[in-house]
Amino acid sequence: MAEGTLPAAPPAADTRWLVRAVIARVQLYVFIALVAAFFALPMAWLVLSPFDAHPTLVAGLAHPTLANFADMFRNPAVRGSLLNSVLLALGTMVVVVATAALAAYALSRVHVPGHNVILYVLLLFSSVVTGSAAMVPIFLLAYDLHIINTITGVVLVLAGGLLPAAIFILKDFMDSTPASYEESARVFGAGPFQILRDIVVPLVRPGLAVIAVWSMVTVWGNFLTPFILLRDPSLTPASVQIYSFYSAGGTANLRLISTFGLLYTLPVVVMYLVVQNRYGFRFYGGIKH
Amino acid sequence: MAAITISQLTKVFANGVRALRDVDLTIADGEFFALLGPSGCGKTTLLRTIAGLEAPNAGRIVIGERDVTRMPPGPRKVAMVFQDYALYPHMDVTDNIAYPLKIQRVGRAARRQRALETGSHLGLAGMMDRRPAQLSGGQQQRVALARAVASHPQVFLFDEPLSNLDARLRMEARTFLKRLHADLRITTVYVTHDQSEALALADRMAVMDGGVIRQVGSPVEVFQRPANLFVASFIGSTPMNLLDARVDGGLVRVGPDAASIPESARGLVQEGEPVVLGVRPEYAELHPQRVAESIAARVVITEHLGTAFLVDLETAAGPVQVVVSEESPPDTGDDVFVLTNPQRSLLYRRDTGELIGPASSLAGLATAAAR
Amino acid sequence: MPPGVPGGAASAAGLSRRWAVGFLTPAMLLIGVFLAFPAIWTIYLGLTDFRLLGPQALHTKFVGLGNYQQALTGGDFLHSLYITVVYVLLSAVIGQCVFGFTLAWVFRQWKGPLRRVMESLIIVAWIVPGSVVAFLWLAYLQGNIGPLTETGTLNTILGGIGLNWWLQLPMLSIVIFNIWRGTAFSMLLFGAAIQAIPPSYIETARVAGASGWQLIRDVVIPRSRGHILTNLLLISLWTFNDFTPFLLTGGGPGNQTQFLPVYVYQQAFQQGALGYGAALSTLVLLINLLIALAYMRILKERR
Repeated sequence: MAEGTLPAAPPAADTRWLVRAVIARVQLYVFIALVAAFFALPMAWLVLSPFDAHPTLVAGLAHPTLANFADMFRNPAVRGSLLNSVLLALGTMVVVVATAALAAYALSRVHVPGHNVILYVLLLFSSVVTGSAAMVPIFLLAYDLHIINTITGVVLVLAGGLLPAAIFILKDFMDSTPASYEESARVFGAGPFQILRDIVVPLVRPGLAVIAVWSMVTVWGNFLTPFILLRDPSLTPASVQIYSFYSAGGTANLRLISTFGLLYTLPVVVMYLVVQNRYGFRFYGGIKH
Repeated sequence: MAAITISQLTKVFANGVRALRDVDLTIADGEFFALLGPSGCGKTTLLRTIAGLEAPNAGRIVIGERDVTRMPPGPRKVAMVFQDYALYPHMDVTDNIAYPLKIQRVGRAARRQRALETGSHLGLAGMMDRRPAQLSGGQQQRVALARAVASHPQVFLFDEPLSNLDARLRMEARTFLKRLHADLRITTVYVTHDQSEALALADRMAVMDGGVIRQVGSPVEVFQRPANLFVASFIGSTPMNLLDARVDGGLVRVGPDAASIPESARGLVQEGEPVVLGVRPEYAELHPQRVAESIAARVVITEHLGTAFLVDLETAAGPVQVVVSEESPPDTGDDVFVLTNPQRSLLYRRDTGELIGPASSLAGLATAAAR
Repeated sequence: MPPGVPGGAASAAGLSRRWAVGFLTPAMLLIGVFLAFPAIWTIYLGLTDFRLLGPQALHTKFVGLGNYQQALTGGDFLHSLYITVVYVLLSAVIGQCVFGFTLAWVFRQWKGPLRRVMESLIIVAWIVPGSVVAFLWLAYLQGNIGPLTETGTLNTILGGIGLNWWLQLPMLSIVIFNIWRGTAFSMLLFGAAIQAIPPSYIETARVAGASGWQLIRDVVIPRSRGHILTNLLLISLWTFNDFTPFLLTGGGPGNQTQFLPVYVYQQAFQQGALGYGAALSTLVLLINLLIALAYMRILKERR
């Protein structure tokens, strides 16, 4: 049909169908626009305000500048808390990845009677014993073990909570690698640690990466555990620091909060995008929390 | 290089399966020995127990002069090629071949050198820095072989190494293996469920069933004189005809008809004894008219095998198959007469299933004497 | 253990039982000490009048079920429990689940960059740290009363009909916040569930003349039952234990958003009543366990 020529009197039913299709399309786009607005509007402030010399509570960019970042880095509380967040995230990641890899390997390769039930119970435990539910005994435990007010204490507590899911996910990865790889290395005379280092770890590297990123992202954003266990301001991580910036009395410093907030958020988003691009999004019972 | 002596070997798995029952076996130094049997017969378990991947519940394994029964796999100095090759996907061909040497603490330069030499010898020279995923099935198989060769083992253990290849490559790889063994003369234990591989490759072979060795012998012996009804029915591209019969006045009576007593069983049976007559389809003739000591049959169907015809027959004693030359296939529905060859046919005791007569044929005995 | 094999049966990797135990120990120790033990210990602590400061800090007394009596008759706990359940039902079970399913269904055949942008936007709302999103929403819904004397983005858009959301409609605000925050998980999970339905099922229903709604009811939901229940279990537990409301409202105004985690925190750490807080912890743990077991039971029956 050439452009501009009218279709030769289509049957009435066809027109009705066409109109309905057009209406459905319009409805769809209106819905999508509303969804986009719902999700984007609260976020707009975080993206725009750090670059505004005089930010207000309304998202906007009236006086563009980059000076806020320079000012922020001069603030010792910002620098210190970011460093503390890095220590917490890396520390917990190392503990979780190392201990979960060993445990998952043992569970995957040695037949322990009822190991699936054990794993399931551990997983249930980790979803039931949350920071909110167990804040009181965890605080008192840390107090009695003299690890309150230490980065180590927070690392151990967070690692304990993350481990069941980490073991579960890694065991899945290890179960899917054929036993003949390890048997072959064994016939050549390799010992358990050699096999782990030369064969298993390289083979399950994607799984280790998933666990590493997941634990870092979770710890990076965690508020409650450091909030309860760390009282010394010099140990405060960014999650608690930013809260104290806006919960303290007086006028909130919007330049500082917005800039700090953006800088603190970026690593999480970047890590998510890296994992998403390299490994795609996969589900493992409660990967986020 | 070393001989392998296995005595009274028993393996019971945690789930109660008895995979090996009192297995006794001696494999000579430099021999190519095949373990053949249906799946679940214990052949792979036996191989894995020799490798040290399974611990036996009872019995002894000696490799060379050393009792290795309680030894972990490494110091046994064996090399194993797995069905899936177990090539490490994160290492290139060189690193894969050199990995056993790395474990043996051979220096980096020396092991890369040896990997390259072995690889070249096995026709892998141009692909030493590829990853396994970039290789064809046949090439992967050769890398796995090279890895085993480079580790300079006393014994090669092969677990169905050709079963992942397609038919044409399998023939090539078979010849390659045979040549490699002729070169290196390393004691080789080769597990397969494919009898043509075992017959083609092995110096000697064992047929296993239910955790027990049912027969040990050269391929010729096993093919010509299966020691019992299990081996008789298992070996052969078309299964051996096994007919219930009874000794009757110097003949074996099969239903209303009779056949001559196989030569090897003459004088060893009693009148009236229930036996099983074993006749390979290749070792029987069809006659259009009744001849002496023949079995009456009717042609059910004929199948073209390429160079011959397989004729399915119905006799009073049950179905019988006979291979006839391509010139004279009978028609479906023809009445014919089956004449067995007494030099080639076999007689088994019906109660024990054991072969009547010497276990080795004359040819087999001759081979054994030459050793 | 088979006789005569040192260290027990070896596995594929040559791991004897002894090695396996060695490999398991560090993880099990961490889980045992920092996850399992606190959950059990809190039962004991909840039977005492342990306090952070004051005479009871030195001489802790055993008070039996006194803390539980106080919780179950005092009204504050029951109020918190009630509004927490409402919060979970509205924001997670209804809000995130239905909205997430709708988005997954709308996005299912929509390819192209715009979809990726939309999905990323929704996922970013989910992964941005809690203390940042809390401030974003404080700012977004800010009215012109209170410590922050300016008006937020939403009221500026709405113009004249602007409300002071956090003071006038705190529950509704926090429910909407949590839908915004958590829908991504449901969307992704349902997206995977819908992807897993063989296209022939949907095509068969379409050929039979099923409408979109009939398709969802008769094909998609029955095929995704496991995903739906898993999703409900996880988002209920997460929302029930969510501490972000503390960052948003601190439980206020009054006690209108004093959800259980906030209440426990205030009692244990702001009032210093650790014994009472431990009793509350026990109750929260029990409720978590009940949620988890209930869903698991449904899951098992459906399979």
